[in-house]
Amino acid sequence: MTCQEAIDVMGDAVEQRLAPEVQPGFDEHMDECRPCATYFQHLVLTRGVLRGLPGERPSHAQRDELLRRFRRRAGESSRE
Amino acid sequence: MQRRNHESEASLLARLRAGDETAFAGVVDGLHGRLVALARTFTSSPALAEDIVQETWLGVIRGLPGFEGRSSLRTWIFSILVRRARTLAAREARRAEVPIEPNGAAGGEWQPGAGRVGLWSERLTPWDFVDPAALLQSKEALHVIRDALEALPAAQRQVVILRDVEDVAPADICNILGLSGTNLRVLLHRGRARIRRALDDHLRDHPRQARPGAPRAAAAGAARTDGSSRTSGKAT
Repeated sequence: MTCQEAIDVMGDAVEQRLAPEVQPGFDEHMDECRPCATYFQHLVLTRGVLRGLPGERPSHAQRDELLRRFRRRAGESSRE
Repeated sequence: MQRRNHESEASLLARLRAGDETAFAGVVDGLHGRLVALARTFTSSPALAEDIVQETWLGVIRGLPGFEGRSSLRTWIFSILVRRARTLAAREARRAEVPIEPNGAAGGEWQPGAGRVGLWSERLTPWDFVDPAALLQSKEALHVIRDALEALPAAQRQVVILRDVEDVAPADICNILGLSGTNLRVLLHRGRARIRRALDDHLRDHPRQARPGAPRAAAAGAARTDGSSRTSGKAT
């Protein structure tokens, strides 16, 4: 596998979804090529950081309004 | 694990359908911020983005009794948001199958079938951290990542939010956004490449945030399982 081929499948590799027939060639290239292995490490960690990104919460007013609507709808459903 | 997830999803759905307010509050707390982030990719107006999210939640409340669970709850909610966004932000809405930006506009790092441009003219240094959660303890790093995500072109931001932040399955993302698998892969890689670049620039400027005590060789092996050494630095 060349660097270009490795980069082409790196998205799948980052997600651990490489096709089984491609995996050995990719692993071999990572063993031999320091820049690709480093780039791959960066992408794996980048994805890890994104997956751990904390989400923002709604404001109290928004949350209360949504819960009120949910309560009202649940009340309507139970009467239907 | 998958079975347990399936069961907990089924149990959550049952509670929501039974009108369990605590369950609904949990879903709102967990997803609201993500929905706002996704809504902002469809409009430049923060107020309209909030309206889109509000409409989405109302659609969820109305639709829960009829939701058959053929997709996951989160995927269903994201689908509602995208439909609402396209309706409410019609004037500003992006086309679903966006043309892939020319390489220069995408940050110049990669184009399909051609590998990394200038491979490897830049010397890459392994990052000295192995636990992403540790990096997120740094407010500065958190800002860098959020800013980099915010700065992505809308189509890249949509797929990175759904795939990497929210872990929605690729096939579901293609359905939600109306993308081909190839387009999804390209957009994802370009989005990740830009965020990688921002993070790399930040870590070069702030090496202490990258676990100062960690040996470089160990960090280089973080993405791998065998930890074997590499010798060649030349592109092939």
